[in-house]
Amino acid sequence: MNKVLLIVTFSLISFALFAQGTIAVWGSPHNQVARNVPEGDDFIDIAAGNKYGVALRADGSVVTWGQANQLVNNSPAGNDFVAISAGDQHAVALKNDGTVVAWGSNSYGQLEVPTNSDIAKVASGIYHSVALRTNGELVAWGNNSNGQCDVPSGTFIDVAAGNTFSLGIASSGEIVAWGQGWNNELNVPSGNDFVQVSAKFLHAIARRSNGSIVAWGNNTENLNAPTTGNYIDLEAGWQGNVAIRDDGELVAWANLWVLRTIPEWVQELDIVKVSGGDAFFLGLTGEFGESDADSDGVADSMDSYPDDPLRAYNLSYPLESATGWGTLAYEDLWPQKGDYDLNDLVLDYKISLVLDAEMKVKDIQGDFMLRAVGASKLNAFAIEFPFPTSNIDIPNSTLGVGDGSEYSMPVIEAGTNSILKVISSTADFVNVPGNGVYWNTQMEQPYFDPIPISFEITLIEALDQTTLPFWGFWNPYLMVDRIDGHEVHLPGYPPTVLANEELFGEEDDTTNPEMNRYYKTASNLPWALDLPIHWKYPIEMKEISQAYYRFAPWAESGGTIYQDWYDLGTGDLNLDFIYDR
Amino acid sequence: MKRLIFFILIVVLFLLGACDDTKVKLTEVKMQDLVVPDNFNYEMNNQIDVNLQGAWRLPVYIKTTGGNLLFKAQMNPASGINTKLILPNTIKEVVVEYQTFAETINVSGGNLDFNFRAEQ
Repeated sequence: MNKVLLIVTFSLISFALFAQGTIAVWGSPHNQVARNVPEGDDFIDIAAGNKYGVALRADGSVVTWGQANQLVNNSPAGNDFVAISAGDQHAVALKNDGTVVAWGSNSYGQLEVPTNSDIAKVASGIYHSVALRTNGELVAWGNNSNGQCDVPSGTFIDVAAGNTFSLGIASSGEIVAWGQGWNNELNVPSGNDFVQVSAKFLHAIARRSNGSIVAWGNNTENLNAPTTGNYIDLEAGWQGNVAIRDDGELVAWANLWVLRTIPEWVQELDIVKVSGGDAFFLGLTGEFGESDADSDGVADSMDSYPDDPLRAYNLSYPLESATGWGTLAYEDLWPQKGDYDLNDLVLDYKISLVLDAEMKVKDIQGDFMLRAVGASKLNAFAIEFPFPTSNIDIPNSTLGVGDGSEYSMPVIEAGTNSILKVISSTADFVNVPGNGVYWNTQMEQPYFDPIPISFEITLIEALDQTTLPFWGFWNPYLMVDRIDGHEVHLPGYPPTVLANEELFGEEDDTTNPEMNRYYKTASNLPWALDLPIHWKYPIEMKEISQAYYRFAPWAESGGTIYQDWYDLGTGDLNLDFIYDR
Repeated sequence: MKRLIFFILIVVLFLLGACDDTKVKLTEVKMQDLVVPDNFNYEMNNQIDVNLQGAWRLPVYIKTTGGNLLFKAQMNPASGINTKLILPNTIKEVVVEYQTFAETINVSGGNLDFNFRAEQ
């Protein structure tokens, strides 16, 4: 008996041991169930019913939601509840004084709860409920048309209730069934090592002390319990069952196909309790107990840096690029028009941001591949960032790496912004200019592998994305002939405060800061492009509009048509004019 | 019957030929001949301001309509999810998954706003 009391007492305490968490719902729930899942991350127990759910908060209060108004509108008040269970159209809750309350439909006397004040656990069937007393004995009420409330004598450690039947695990570890079993519900498995039982409608499942699961009852997919693995919790639902494996994975088997697969987002959660309803499952996360190691408010399961309170998420640009790379392409004759082959400097880029829990930028990693230098000048490449140099954590930043070796990237103050000179001179990596042959822009000349260049900036104070200028978090530009102030930016991007204003409006340029007009000719032609893919640029001396036929109508339409003009798959291009290596 | 089939065949071929003639055949253009609108800055990316609200501290996934993951984060019920995404202009819609919901949202206007709260 002492063993029974110990186990029963543990059963009560175990609810309190669950970490407080959030309720997740999946499957095919009624809209009122899905839409009205209660807000908060302080839940310690859940129960799924027929088109409704019940949840228990850490403060001892109960909330009911869903489509079943008779239940939702009569959810019991108070802060002294310790456990809950959900039937078809009635629900029950156990109070900390050992008494039980029920609400919802009373069509079969489901609400006529016993007066006992020593209840340790309660389980609701379709139209009846069974309770386990602290002395191990059972009591039942509600529909008894099939003897499902005629509880056997003896002591038990767990109970469950289906439609016409009820189940208990005797203190011997054997499963005992009573009531009516037209669908083999009473054909319980043999053995004396059972530790948990759950039932719903026409079937039941149970867990042995070795963690294995057995199912019986109506011969449907609900009986296809997993045959491998060790499980720590399980729950039967109407059309499906779910169990928690000892490695934290959820496993489901079901009549209803939508319940057979656990969604990826649910598997990523740290689910500590499950419950099966009518075509849906509920899961209770434990992520706000011990599983937020760095206490940044982002659960470890969602935190890319679970031990670092200053970092939580990764965000890379360009997004949705097949290769993960974007391309910057420049002409270097500004303020004179160039030859529009856009290959004087070609860099693939990938910008990776590390965000904190509030979505502020903590780190900026830039990865580049120097692909082409179709220029006779020795140019430089730099990036303006919207934060002061004093906000750069220099000791913890890597500035930078070029072609596999350390490569010094000077940081320059530019008003309230910073400039990082990523490439001080293309001659640092490319030796071809000056001998009359360009680098990776002429098909008849040798091809050179792209050169990797990278940096990583760590900020002292994370950057609030809501305060960024219109050009965002970076403003990349070419420095003609390495001359400070001789900047060539993307069209529409402003010069830095270090730019030589005397060049604005000279030659073919029409830059006018007062009009917010930057780096375009009088006919609005650019000196640079930022493409969201690994772009195949034109060969030497061939204009972009000669290589890509869709470029001209795209530009003339203001970007409204042929938005995929840069894609080699469009067919509207001249491959002979494209450097395709 | 043969005449009828032959006649139909001729008509179909004629119509197909007419369709082909309506297709715009693009060819190379000199840059100096382009007439580009004043306010066009050759943007091929769209900077999206993300503002998602929800009641449950659960993961939120932003995906393409083809199912490719763009970003995932945990919903903050107090402040929501506020960040920026830079997407190619060719992407007009994204799918936001949260709890059992999967909302397809047009982002061509530069905003990704949605409130998953019950009162929505």
